[in-house]
Amino acid sequence: MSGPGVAAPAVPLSSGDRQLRRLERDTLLVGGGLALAAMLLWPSHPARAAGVAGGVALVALSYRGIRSGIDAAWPRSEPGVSPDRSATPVSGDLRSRFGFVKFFTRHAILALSAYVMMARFEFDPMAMLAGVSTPAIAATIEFARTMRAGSGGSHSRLS
Amino acid sequence: MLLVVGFVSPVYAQDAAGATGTALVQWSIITAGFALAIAALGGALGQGRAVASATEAIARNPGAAGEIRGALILGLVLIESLVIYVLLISLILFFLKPFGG
Repeated sequence: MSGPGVAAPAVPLSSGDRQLRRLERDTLLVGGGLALAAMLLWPSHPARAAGVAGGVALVALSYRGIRSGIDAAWPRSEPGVSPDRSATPVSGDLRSRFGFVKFFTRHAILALSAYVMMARFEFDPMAMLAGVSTPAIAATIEFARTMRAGSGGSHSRLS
Repeated sequence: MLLVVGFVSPVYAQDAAGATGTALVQWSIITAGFALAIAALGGALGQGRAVASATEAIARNPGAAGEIRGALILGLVLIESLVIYVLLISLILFFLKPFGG
């Protein structure tokens, strides 16, 4: 990880990172589809579509916090290469410190955001629960995709 | 006498219903608090185990750090989403009060 003003060196994505990218994309697609469906099914209740979007936003906040903390603790390295040989040290790095702050304060941010969405903006609570379910749906899709690719004997469909 | 009882009994019924509703709200709030505490405990234990296992695995095989990081982030996010479920249900019970109050 580098400082805020320094461009980070391009590191090729590992298979774990590619899998996470696919999960991010699937979660956004499922969340967007659910919000669109809520908007089409209940056009007079925009709080339902907003609730789905709010649930996805809560999961995204949590994901960003976790990812920042893990990136700060274990910087991304080239696949197959030990991190201590390819990554720069993280001590004293402003971005890694901010990542740890995000990681350790994510529950407070989540609770505050959920309170504001539910009690102030009056988003539909059931729709918010549906929005929070989107990463589990995306993980199920990814699992099915992996199983299908495994049974087909080729990994080319994963990327 | 019957007329007096007839007029008074709905008032008693209203009091009883009000007391039941208040007790239900109180118990729902207590339940929400305990549910959040149990969810936080379970989530923290699960995430702690996941991080401990990932740290050990990266220490044993630093070359596989990328794959381990991906699996760790996915596991932590899925554990966290369960805690967010309980947080939302607790907030529903705290602020929206579906059982009245």
